[in-house]
Amino acid sequence: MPAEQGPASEPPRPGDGPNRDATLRGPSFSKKRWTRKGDRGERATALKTDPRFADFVANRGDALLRYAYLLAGDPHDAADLVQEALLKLRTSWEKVRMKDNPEGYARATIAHLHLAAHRLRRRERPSWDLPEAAYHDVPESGPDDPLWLALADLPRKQRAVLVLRYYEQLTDAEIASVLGISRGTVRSQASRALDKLRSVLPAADRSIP
Amino acid sequence: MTDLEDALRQTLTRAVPYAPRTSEALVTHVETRYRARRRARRALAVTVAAVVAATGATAVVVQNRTEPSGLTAERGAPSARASDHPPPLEEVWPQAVTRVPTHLPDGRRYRPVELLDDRTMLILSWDSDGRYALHTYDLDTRTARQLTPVAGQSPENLTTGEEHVAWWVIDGDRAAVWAAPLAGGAARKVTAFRGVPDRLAIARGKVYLSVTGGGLFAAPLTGGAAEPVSRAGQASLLDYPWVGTAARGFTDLLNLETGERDRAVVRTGETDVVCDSAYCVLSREGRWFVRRRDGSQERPMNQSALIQAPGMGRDVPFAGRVQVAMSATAGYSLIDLATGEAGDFGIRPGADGMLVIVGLVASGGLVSYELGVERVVIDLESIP
Repeated sequence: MPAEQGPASEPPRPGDGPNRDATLRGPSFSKKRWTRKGDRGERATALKTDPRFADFVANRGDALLRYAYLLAGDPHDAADLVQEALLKLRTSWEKVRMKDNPEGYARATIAHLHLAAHRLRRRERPSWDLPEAAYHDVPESGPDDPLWLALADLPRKQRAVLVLRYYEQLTDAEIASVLGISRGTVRSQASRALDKLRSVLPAADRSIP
Repeated sequence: MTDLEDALRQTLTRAVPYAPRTSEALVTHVETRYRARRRARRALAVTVAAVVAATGATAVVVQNRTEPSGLTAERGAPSARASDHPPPLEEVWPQAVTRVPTHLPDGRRYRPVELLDDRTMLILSWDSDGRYALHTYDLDTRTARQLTPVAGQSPENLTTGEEHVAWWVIDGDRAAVWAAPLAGGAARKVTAFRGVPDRLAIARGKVYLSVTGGGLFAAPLTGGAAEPVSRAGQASLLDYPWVGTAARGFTDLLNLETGERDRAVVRTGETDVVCDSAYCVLSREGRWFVRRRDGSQERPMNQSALIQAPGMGRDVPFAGRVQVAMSATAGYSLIDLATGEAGDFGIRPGADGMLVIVGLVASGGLVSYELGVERVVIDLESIP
């Protein structure tokens, strides 16, 4: 595993090393916020911080961004999630560090922020709003892949369960712990999510027409 | 693990390189926000204390201590030093780099598919209603000529061969394979297929497609049923006529036309070996290397590589020689592993300290990405 991607003790995650069996194809884009990240050429400034926190961000920041990106499906949302999670981690750094699991804390925070953002957005929407006009929102960046596009249509909790199960390779008990839900809910959310994906993808029974 | 679960795992893995990355500015940004928030809370505490005192209660004076001035920013952090970035792409390979607008003249968005010749790209465009079309794009005149509209949802595995382009789309509960002539003309449905294709190739008048989990089928380019290619067994298409087992990193290949078998050199202690028809990537003693299938021309790989070509067949030509790399201090760059030359993409951290690459394409003889209102196109064939 590349050294920048974490301590040697951590098991490899899909995508951590060279892109084994990955087919990189062109990403697609939308107009959504495409100007937000540009070539601003800013000169960075350095504040003294707890060097252990700085080391944690340097070593695990990219892994957290990958995780957040798979949860959110959007690079800008992923960047926002990680930044907010790191801010919370920085605030609780001494306490979390003593427990020796800052990454677990950060991952759980990212998942909670992601699900909470959804709830907030739902609450903010007045019930008398007319449905928005259909707009084909091609993801700004990501694999040009029908499953990736179908994942975007899943409720966030269902998507989170799939990401934790099939990318992070967590057990249902671990997923329940990270998301703060029961194991039964994990199983039902995963089952519903897979059913939805099956319904939008070609049947994979390989029979010939 | 079902086919769907396998496909899901692959899709998530494929998405990983599109995630944003950190820069060295991220820690500074988090620290700045953390201190600002702490200052605001302390200021609030002072206000509350003052209110309590004013109401006659016993109050403890809380001093609002501002942050020591010694924590002011140190300018010129490592991430900002110009010397950390290689020279711009245009300085290193001026003949290979072209900048074009991110939109077509009629306002449609697009992404490159393949370089058909040194000045013409095959591109896929779409409008805000999700209607797709294929065009050729002239890099000199910056104009597009539509080849054909694309029916259905997002076309997948766009592949050229024998003067045609083929792709597949979801069609109800099937995958429909389509093809269109590159010279222009209507697209036609080649076949419909129950399964999720993972690779296509056009060769010898047929469209070959392998499906997720293994298994190869072929249908006439002119249209007809997809028939299993029995001599391929459960192998997956790598780069026609080569097939192999994806789960074993394509180390053992079979040439469908000649029956030739090719076994990549794998030495004791080498793990995670993944090959394409020319090169392999492997891990040894915690480091990554790339070399030819026969074990020659081994080179260490950039440890922070974003894209490694082997294992992707035709998707990334110059396999094993050129890679897109990223580091927290030098950002994104293109590296020629053969010569060590590197060209800077020009992407810098946003105000939040994150590095986001937009619209990355690394296939069909090119590497391309968006930079503001421009799309940078690098013709890999023009890198000497």
